[in-house]
Amino acid sequence: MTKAFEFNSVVKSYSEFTLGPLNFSLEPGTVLGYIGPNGSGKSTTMHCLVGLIKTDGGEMRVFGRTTDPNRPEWKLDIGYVGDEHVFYEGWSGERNLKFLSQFYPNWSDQRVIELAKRFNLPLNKKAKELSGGNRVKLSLVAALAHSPKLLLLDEPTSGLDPVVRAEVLDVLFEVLEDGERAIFYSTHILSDISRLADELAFLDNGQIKLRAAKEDLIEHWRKIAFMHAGNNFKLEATASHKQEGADHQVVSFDHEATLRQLGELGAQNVQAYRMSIDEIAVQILKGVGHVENS
Amino acid sequence: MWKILEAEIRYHRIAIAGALGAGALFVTFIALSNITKDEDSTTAWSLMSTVMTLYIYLLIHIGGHQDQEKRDRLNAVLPISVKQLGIARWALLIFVQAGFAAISLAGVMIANSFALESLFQLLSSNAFLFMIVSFIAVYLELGHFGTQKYRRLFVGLLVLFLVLIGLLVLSGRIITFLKNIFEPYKTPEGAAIYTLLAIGLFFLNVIIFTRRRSYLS
Repeated sequence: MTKAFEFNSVVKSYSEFTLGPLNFSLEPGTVLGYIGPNGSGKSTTMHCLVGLIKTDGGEMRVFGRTTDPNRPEWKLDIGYVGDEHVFYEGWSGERNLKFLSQFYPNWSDQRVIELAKRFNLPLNKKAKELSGGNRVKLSLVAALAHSPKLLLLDEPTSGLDPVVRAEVLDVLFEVLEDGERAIFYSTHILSDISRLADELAFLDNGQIKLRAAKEDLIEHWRKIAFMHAGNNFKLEATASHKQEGADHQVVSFDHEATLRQLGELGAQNVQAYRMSIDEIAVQILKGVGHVENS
Repeated sequence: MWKILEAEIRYHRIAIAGALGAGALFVTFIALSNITKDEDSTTAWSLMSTVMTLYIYLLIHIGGHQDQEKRDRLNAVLPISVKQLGIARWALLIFVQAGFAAISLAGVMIANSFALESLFQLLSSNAFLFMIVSFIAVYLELGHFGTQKYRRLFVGLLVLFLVLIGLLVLSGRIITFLKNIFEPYKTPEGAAIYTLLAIGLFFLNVIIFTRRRSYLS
């Protein structure tokens, strides 16, 4: 099956930061959460993919087409909500959407009306008069109106109140219903993506540290508490280890392996607790930057 | 490309219509007044000077280089080629200038019996004006290359140009130099050269735009 997008050895260098080389892809119908602290390269990745910045090396493909800036058909398949919401500021939301509709054969005015109603978005207001939240909503309506096969969302819920955030996520769930669309969703707000994502990729300092299916993470990660008098042992597959006297608490990324070893060591009162995806993500990114776990 | 151009024209329609309207009134006033009655086709040049002022004013009014950058960012995500986008954003200026040229031509025709010479003069002055605007634009565009290398190159060339002018002034040859430059103004060859140079600068701007490393505002 043709991938929704592919990154092959993509590199983007700045004087004090390098993104990549990135090698990853996304299957249609999959939601990939792209998680990392501020400044880790999430937006830069999006900008490269959508053609807003040029890479220094490597190749990207969208539904099999190379992202050639002079052969822009690949952009027809993309809906993009960026980190900045830009419009013809002196035009109303409606006028802006009418302008954008000319470029997409699949554009649906009916969908625009439905989404605007659902988001309670005043389309008659000039873009420059819209609040931050309404600008995000307008970007979302613009990105969804042509039913793109690939949705690129760069922190789309930042600046939205909890009610609208929930509404946006509901709409995104609906978008996924036909099983053909892919969503690449970057965020540092874990609660948003933990509901939506099938897979998570963790980015740190321009490099993908880990990519895994959400279910696999939930299945394998455990918080394990146990008692053991000794302190001269090293446990396998653990992300952290705290000890107070004979009480130990570890976070394991392969609880079966850790429990087996604890059994061999003769640990007492062993108790393993499931972890939420938020807790797992915090563990993965711990020490590499701030992750808001709200 | 045409969709972007149409959008830009619509977006700036009040500024464009206002400036063109003011230009038309001004040119009509000059053309009908005694100022130009006794003059030959050089009237076109004086008319163009006033139009030039209005044009620059219009540029400032449309202005908002930052605003333009934001629209570029919006448009750069659309399924059109970056080359088409580069042409469309400059085609707006050509559209505006064509409007001014038409007004000037009408003014010349009212003030004097129309001579072919006037047409060449008009072409030359429009091309010259466009070159000035393009030159400024090249400077702005080069700023997007992230490094200071290109800006330094540009500033270096500007300093060199000013030094040459200074030397011409000091040596007393500036008048001859200017005459030599503006002499071909009324000739078909001169008009052709100025127009070709303007077209060259237009495409230079488009090329620089397409080679930008980033379309983030």
